[in-house]
Amino acid sequence: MAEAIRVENLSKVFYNKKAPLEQREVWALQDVSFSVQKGEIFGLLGPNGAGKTTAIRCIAGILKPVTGMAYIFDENINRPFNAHLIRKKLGFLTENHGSYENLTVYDNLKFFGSFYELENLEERIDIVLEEMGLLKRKNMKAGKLSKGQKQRVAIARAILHDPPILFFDEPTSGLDPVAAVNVRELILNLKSKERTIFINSHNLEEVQKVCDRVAILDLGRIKRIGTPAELSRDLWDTQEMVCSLKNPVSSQIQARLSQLDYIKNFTSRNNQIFIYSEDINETTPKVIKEIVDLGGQILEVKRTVHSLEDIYLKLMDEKPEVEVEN
Amino acid sequence: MNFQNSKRILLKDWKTTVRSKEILLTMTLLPILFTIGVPILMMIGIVIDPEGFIEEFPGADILITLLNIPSSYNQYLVAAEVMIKLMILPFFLFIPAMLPAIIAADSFAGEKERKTMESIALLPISKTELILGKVLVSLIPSVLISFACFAGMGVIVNLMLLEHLEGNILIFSDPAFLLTVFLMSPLLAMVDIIVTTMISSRSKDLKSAQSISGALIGPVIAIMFVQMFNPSFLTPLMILILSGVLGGLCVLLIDVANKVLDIEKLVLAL
Repeated sequence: MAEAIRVENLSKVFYNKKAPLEQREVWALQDVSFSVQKGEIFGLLGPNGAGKTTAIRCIAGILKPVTGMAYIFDENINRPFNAHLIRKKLGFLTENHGSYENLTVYDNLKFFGSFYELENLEERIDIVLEEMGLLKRKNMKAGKLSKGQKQRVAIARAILHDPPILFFDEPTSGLDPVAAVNVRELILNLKSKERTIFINSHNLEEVQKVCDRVAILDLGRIKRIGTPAELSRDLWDTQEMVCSLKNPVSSQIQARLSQLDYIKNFTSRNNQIFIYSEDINETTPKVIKEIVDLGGQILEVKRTVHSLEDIYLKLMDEKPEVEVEN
Repeated sequence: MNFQNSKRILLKDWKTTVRSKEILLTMTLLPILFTIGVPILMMIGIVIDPEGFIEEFPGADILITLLNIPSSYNQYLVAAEVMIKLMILPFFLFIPAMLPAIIAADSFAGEKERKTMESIALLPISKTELILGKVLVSLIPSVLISFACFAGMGVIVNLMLLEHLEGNILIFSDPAFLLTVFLMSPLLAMVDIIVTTMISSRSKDLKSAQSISGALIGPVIAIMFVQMFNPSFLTPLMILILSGVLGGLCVLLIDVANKVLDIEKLVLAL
């Protein structure tokens, strides 16, 4: 699969002239590297001040990294003459909705859309407004809209020119639950059209629902990158499977399970067996077969998967790596 | 360089800033008052008593000599010519330099205040295209208002003195006036706008941008005073020399603005 975004050793420092000398340098990003494949939904997670928005701004070419480069479809966006041309391929939903409050929704979209030289701009405006449920508010001043509606106008602006890569900074912030679900559906719909989507979010549940891979950023450094399943495997030695039987667990079954070397540990309670292994995907069919062979009647098998929230909290709990000087 | 992008910025700023009633009122009322209202009052005084009017000026004879007023002019035209050169001509330097400050101060400071700077920075537009759009939206209305006031003033003055013109035409046939209005004052406005735009990009908010850029009117007021105390200062040759200097300054300032304007700082100021 082709790379849509590639970030190589990106670092960004801000200077706070008013701070004491030793605190003047604030490293927003430190040697950050990752890539996002075409058609992938990639989530960047991290606490406030982790450097998520700075990362998007560097990738968009509006902040200059002190080291490293960002590439969009293999084109270096950090070259000053390139940035604005490459940005034609990008759509952005920024933290601030960024619409002109004294212009109508239509005028806002017409202004922002005009830079992409679309042949059917008027038609596209109607389509995206319909998609965002704002067609009836087309001629309303943006300043008169609610916070959620302003957020939807900003999303409409980001998708108006149908860019191959979209950056969404907190896409469901300020949206009611129904609108948030609609945005999630929109994101998945964009993925089905092979669009690449980069999401910055605090909403772990939302990220878990839509993202193929995530990167966890803290204090400007990437702590982990991978699919939630990969991260779960990286962080926990064993995974859990719960097997519910029709009858209490027999001593024969318990004896057999204790002999299986691919099981790290197990416990039983009434009709349930809790099995722990390194790779639950591989273990599950084998264990089911053993239980059935010994006359156990299985009612339900559940694999306990660590949520992104578990992963995130565990990673945030980890102490930062300390560089050892020789 | 895509001029369409600059035009898009210009049209957006026209809708968001210039079209507001307060700005339009300030931009039109003041020039009308200075370049049409004041000349009307002066012409009334001249028509009633041209000799008395001119005698009120100290050293009137020297003034007439200095201004190279044609000997064929009657007393009405002499009085009108002295008044216009002395009092009105400098306003045509002042107005195009003052008007853009109102809009140019808003150019970047306004975007920061409205929290729209990041949206603009993320557009597929180069810094030069952005600066050009911001400069033109201040320059075009100011220069057009100045031209309209010039035309209005010229017509009114000539109409009020119609029966005394004796085949002469005031203002429109004066090279000093034409060069000032159509060459020097647009260039002066341009310099003022570029500097104000740079100030706006560095200011925390609109108010501080307006107050700092207000100081720019100083050099213009200096030229106005020089002209008022020495009406022969703005000769066509002097206007051409000053325009050349201003033109060179414009080119230099555009380059400086391109270097000074830091999109990163503007975005981070959010």
